[in-house]
Amino acid sequence: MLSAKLERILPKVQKPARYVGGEWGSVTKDKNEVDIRFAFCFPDVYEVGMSHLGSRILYGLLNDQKGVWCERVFAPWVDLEEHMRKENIPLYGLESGDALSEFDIIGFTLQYELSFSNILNMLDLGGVPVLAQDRKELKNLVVAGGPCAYNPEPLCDFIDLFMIGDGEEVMLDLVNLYNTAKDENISKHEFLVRAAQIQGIYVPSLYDVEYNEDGTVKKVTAKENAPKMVQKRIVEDLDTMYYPEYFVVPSTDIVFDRAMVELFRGCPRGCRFCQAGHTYRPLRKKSKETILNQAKKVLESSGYEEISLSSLSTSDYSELSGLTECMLDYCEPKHISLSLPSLRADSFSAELMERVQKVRKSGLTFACEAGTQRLRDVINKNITEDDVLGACEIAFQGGWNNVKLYFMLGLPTETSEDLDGISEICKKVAYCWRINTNNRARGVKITASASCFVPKPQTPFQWDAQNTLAVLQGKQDYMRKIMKTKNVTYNWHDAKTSVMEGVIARGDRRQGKAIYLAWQRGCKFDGWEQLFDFDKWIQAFKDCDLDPAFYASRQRPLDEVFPWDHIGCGTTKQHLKREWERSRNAAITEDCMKKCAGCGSNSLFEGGHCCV
Amino acid sequence: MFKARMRFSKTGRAKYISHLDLMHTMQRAMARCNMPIWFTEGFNQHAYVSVALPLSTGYSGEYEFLDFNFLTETVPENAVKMINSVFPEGLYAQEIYALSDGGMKIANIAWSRYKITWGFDGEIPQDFIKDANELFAKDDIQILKRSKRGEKMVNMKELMKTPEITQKDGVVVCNVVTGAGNKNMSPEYLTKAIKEYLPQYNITDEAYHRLCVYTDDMVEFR
Ligand code: SF4
Repeated sequence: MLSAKLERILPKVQKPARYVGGEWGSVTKDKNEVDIRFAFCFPDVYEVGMSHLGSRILYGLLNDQKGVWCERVFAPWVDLEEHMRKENIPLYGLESGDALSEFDIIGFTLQYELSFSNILNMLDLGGVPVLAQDRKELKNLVVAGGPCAYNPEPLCDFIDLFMIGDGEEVMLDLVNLYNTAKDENISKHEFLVRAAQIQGIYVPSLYDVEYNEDGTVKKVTAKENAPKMVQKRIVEDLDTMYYPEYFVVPSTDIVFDRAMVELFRGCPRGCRFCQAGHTYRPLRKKSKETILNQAKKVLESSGYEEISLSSLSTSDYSELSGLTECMLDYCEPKHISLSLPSLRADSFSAELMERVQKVRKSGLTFACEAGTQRLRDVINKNITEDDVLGACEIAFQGGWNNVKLYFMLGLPTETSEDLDGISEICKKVAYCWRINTNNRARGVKITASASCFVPKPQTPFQWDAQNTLAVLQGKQDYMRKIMKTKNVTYNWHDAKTSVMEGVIARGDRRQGKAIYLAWQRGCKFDGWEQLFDFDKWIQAFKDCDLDPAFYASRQRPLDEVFPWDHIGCGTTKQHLKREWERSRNAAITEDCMKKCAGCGSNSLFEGGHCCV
Repeated sequence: MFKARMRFSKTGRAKYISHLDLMHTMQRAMARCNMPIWFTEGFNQHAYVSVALPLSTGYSGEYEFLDFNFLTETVPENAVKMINSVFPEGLYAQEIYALSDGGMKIANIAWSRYKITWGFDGEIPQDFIKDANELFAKDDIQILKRSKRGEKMVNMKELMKTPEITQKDGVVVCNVVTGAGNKNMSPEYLTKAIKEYLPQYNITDEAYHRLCVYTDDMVEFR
């Protein structure tokens, strides 16, 4: 229930509906009847967090357990936070309205480095000590998982344990162990020692890190029987894996307000800049039947008017055409539209597009990433200009007039020729529209967006220096000058944000102090341009004797020990190194469907075979 | 196909659902229970629903109306039960009925009855109820009212009927009929009037709940 204090405040804040819960599909249990109260925290606003499929899956999974009540917690926007602090209202679970400090396990999902400060802020606002060492009891155990857990080190001061890899199974192991620990009344430390024995669980306090003179990691030592290397967990069979039959349906607008079903995990492509492409391996797919079944159930129980089939590379789903047909047979009579994100330009077929657009027509997006074939080969984005133009031709002939192209600036080995290439492609796409459209009067909207490349841990580019702020800004200025084609709108992202993301992405545990200091000085919602304070962050690093450039813009030697080397993402470091070497010769590596590149992740399977 | 109307309440947590979001929420609830309703045709097909006289976000109400079209011959049996089983917390359908001859026109709604609740830090001040009743018994209460055409001083008594102000469970309850439609006046103007004319009282909590809507001659809208 909402407290009277909160009700007094809600009329004064923006979009109060996101703070009240009670949506269709949200789960309420009797708190006296459950053993474990789990707070599933997303360190961003409701609209962003509710759009995240993984969180929806785990919310359903945990609440499916009889003894567990999982609630949702999001970061309140600054206007509400101000009122909450003034009125002494603690951050609360949306289902019960109870303070965060009343929960047994507090779990954060780590999607983005620039949401880390929000984790500290949410704990604090919820009345939970921010530093792990100040939480002495088993209660308020703070755990985390998600993509950024592949380098958990910057968060070691705050998080008691990390779950690496797929959450569906390890989450239940954790909850079971917690139950036992409560029954046996063991200490938090004893619990953590035992938890470290579960595959996929990383307990940072059980590892000592030594550094070299130059600030790089010398070695990491595991204590108290914790594994030397924490290998990630995977769910082997997606067909039998838990999938929610209902979704929480927000009563207010969110970013991706639709039903979603996952097609497969892992990506066969191996783009060298992409962390997900390397950390979600090995490839596992859901059968067409399972997908259809799950899609129907979720649509029926949610009432959603749109469903997306999600994956890292949808066109690589082997039965996509048949699946789309069956989906449309179901969706069309019910006025449900189907969206297929992550389609690749090269396999884009006119037929598929026409079928999908029958119910509702949305824009087309192509991730070209780089402006020349040479650079696309460096990053192993195996897509050619002809692919893009061929797809555009079909699209424009089919009456589409809205195309988005994505690029990155600052990729390794980039030269001004590559930047010119971006503007060339855009010109060609604009020309392609002119000669292919059958309705010039309607006009066309071509949007080119350029983000700044951030080298990520556990990718072949983890050794590479990120361009400095000055270099990135220089490239952006140059782009603005050359992107002058009619009908092409050019968007760019703030380079400072990417630099900060780059600093933390490959950080070590010493960064905890800087993150703490930055948060104390008011940093939060750093992913939101209007609130991001770059200078404050840089100052916090300096005040902790840490050099941001050491983390972001330093080229690492191939034999350097990384702070995240003891965290296994499935793909081996050896493979990543090989890929880095190939990238310097602009040598492409074929996708898994053509030839296994030997990334090593198949060893996580019982049989050792990827399903491609 | 025929026109139909649902009377529903929107209370508790649902009172924060905005007008636009309420339409989506209704469309999805209709889809969840397979209500055979009409969809618009053309480019962007969607379930047609229309909320009459939407409440301000944060207000609750128990006399709200949603118009839509059924594809069937008659209102499905159990329609009320069906929709209530798939509503989010705080929404509740009371009645679903066919609108023969188009039914009453939304444009004919002229009055709303509200229950306003005023709370204070601590006890209700001794003379508050007496003073408030006296204030609203006057024939002319000038107040600065905002409209699409800007702000202007008006006599709010022309846009409302004399309220009944009583005390219940430690809060003050004001039952008032205010203008809707063309001569719309938000019940918040009563709170504003108190703040302006009885500044000695410091209302800390205010809540607005719509009890009923009427046509010009005070016939309950249906
Ligand atoms: S083991 Fe081979 S097929 Fe499997 S993901 Fe790695 S490279 Fe691809």
